[in-house]
Amino acid sequence: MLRATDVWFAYDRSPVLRGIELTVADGGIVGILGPNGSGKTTLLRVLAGTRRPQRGSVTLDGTPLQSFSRVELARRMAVVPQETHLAFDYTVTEVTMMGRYPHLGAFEIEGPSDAAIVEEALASTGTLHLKDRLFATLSGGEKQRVVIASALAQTSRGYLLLDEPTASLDISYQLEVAALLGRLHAERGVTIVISTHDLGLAGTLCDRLLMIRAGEVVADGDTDRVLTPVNLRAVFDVDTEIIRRPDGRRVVVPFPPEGGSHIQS
Amino acid sequence: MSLKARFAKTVVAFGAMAAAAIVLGPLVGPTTVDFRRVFDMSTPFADNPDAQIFFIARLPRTLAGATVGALFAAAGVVFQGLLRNPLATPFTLGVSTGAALGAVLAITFNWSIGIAGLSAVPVAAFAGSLMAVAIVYALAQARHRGLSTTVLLLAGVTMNAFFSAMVLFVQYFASFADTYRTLRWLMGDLDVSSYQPLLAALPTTVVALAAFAWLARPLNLLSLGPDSAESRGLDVTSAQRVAFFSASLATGAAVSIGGPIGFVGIIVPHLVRLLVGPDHRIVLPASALFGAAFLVACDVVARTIMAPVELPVGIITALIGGPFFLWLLISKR
Amino acid sequence: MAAHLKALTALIAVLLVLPPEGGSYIQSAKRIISLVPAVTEMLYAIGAGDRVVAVSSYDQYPSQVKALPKVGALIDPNVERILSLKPDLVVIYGSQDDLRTQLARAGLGVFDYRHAGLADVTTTIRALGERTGDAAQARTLAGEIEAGLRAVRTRVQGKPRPRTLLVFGRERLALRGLYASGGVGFLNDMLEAAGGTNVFADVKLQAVQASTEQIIARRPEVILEVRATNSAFPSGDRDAELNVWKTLGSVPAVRNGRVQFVFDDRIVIPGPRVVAGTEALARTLHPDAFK
Repeated sequence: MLRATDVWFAYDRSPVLRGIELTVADGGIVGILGPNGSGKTTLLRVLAGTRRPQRGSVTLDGTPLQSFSRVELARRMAVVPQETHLAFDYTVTEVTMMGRYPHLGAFEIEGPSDAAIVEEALASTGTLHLKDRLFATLSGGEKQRVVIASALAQTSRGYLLLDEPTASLDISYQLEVAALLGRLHAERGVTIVISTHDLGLAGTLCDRLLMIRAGEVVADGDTDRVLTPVNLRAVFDVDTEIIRRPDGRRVVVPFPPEGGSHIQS
Repeated sequence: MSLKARFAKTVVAFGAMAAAAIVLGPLVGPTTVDFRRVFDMSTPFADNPDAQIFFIARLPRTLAGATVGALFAAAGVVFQGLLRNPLATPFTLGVSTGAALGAVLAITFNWSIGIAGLSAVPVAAFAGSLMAVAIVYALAQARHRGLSTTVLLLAGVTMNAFFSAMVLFVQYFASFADTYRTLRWLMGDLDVSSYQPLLAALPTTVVALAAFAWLARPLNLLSLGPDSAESRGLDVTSAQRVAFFSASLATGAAVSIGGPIGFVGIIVPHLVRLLVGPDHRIVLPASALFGAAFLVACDVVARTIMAPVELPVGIITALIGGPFFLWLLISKR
Repeated sequence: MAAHLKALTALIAVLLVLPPEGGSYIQSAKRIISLVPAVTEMLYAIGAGDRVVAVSSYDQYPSQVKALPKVGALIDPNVERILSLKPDLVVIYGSQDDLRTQLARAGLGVFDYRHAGLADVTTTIRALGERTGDAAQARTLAGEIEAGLRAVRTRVQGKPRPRTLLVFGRERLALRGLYASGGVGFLNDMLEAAGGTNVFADVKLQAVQASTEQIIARRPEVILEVRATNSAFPSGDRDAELNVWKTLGSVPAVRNGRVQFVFDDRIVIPGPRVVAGTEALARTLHPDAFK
């Protein structure tokens, strides 16, 4: 269980996160939903342990994150950033293999078991056929799936933290990645935490939502309960209608707020 | 092929190249040497010009070329990994210009250390490089959060410009002869004529190479970006510090032996990556070995092509480097 | 009629004497600035010394120049200072193109100095004398120098000519960055006149960066390190400096203890004192010829 308690964080003077409380149960899919600038990415970094909150704490199974060594933490939590840019021409396999580094000793070189794990991770993200391609030559969706494979190689049963996983993707790739995440969750039982401003993704994928605005929690709980027009108005300044399809998928339809749009025509 | 196998194959192949260069280097030169006389033990060393040429002139020079070539090439790889830019060189962050300033001061003001056989110039060059490293690092640390490579790059480029201006400033007060000698030093000179400069640089070399061995995997991770590297268990700030200091030390040591010989630190890493791929665990040892062979070969050309006049080795590396970059630019289209 | 003839003769005489357009037929200089130490010495030697108003930063000889204003040198000539002193002749290096252009624009006379072989010393003295109006003294001086050099050559004639390495620059306490005279230039010419053979005679350059290999291979019998007078090492350093050559034990000069420092401006400045400089070199190479 990953728990954030009264987390306050600031890069310089003004706090970006104000008293965030969040509990992520093992095996859940939690979405951190909010507009740009609400602190979603920062919260994800704090949850991953790469930034330390000035006040409050984050614990993993009761142990504060600081108590873990970086390598220990990396074995239990993997982060998938919004975009990955490589400085050099690594292949897909090499990039995925970097997820195994936290499991290697100081001068240890990866062996056959690591190679097997990498292959399996690539297969489960549908990218095994790309394994000898240069990462830089892939499409946006393929890149994201490879980085997810790298994260799976890093922690097969642990926590996957994804920062805006669909933000820079074309719509077909958005759906592709969303479906992949759903499948991974169902098949492998990984715990997933996503930060996003994509209402559709939040609605279809996540079973719990933390809705934040300007660094503060607006709502927290099961998606069914929390994804309401009232909360969406408070967080995003839009009116919405939430439609429940027969197959259970939630569709969020936004309207501009009453009284005209922000933009004067 | 597994990484272990590729690593072994690469080290063997490039190691053979380096070994061949070191063995063949002293056999070639602008004057004729009778090799039977070189190893003739019956003649006392002091009476044996062939042996003296081999053991005083050529062998230390070849070893210097191998050491300096390895240091520049490996330092180039590390700087490129640290700055996440394949165009970075050991000279990008001002280390070698700081060394040049030390050397220029020593040449112009005729400094001496008082230890026979040890010229003040290499020591001043090394001291200059350390000063440059310290200043650049301090500037980059002025931002409170860790070590930003952007700020590091800006600080380095700024200090580069500053030290270059200082070098010109000192030269302005130097006599014409001193200016000429400084310019020649800037073009590189591997004629160490004794093992002393190599021994003096040995501790720094060993420390730097050991650090490079540790840095290989971290550099792979750093190429993903600092946050991605951190989330894969790397202490990014620590790794960046180690990379910066070890590569700067290596550069300082190399410059103190042979002057700021350019292009080795960028040609060799590029060529090696083309041959073996970007995994630093292979690129680093391969670059060190290839750099050694490369610079020894360039020095052989420098001292034989216009015999009896010996060209500065930096001219040869530049003559190879220029077309190499043109080719790189054109082939990237 | 005779009066007209006289007037005509006078007119013709005046026309012959008057400077033609663009230059002096019989030239002279009243206020001279010299950027070249060798030429400064020449000026004083031909009797133009009292007309020298400023010299270069490196001028030391004769002692009168110490009191004169300094106007920079090869790399940093102070044009403003030069102009403010209102010279009518400025002696500059042949390579100082920018300076020449600026002085020409200011309408000042320029004497180009080009640094070459020993014979050019007397050529330059003669040309200088023509330019400053001291042609007769210049010719006399040049003749004396040529005679003096001939005398030195005669003294050492027939003696075995030792193979000599003439070093004029290197790093302190190390054999790195070592520059020796090549087979061209006044240092080489002085060495030859003094009865020595340059080990680098085949290299047609004024300066050769001599590598360790070349020094060992060419086996000089004498090594002379020549420097300016005021660059003498502190006495404590002298033995240390000589000792750096010990590593090249197979070189005959080192083996036989014939490595020497010669601090003598007369050798390194190609001016009127070259005869004394050449003689000094000859004394070092052939001491027995001067008993």
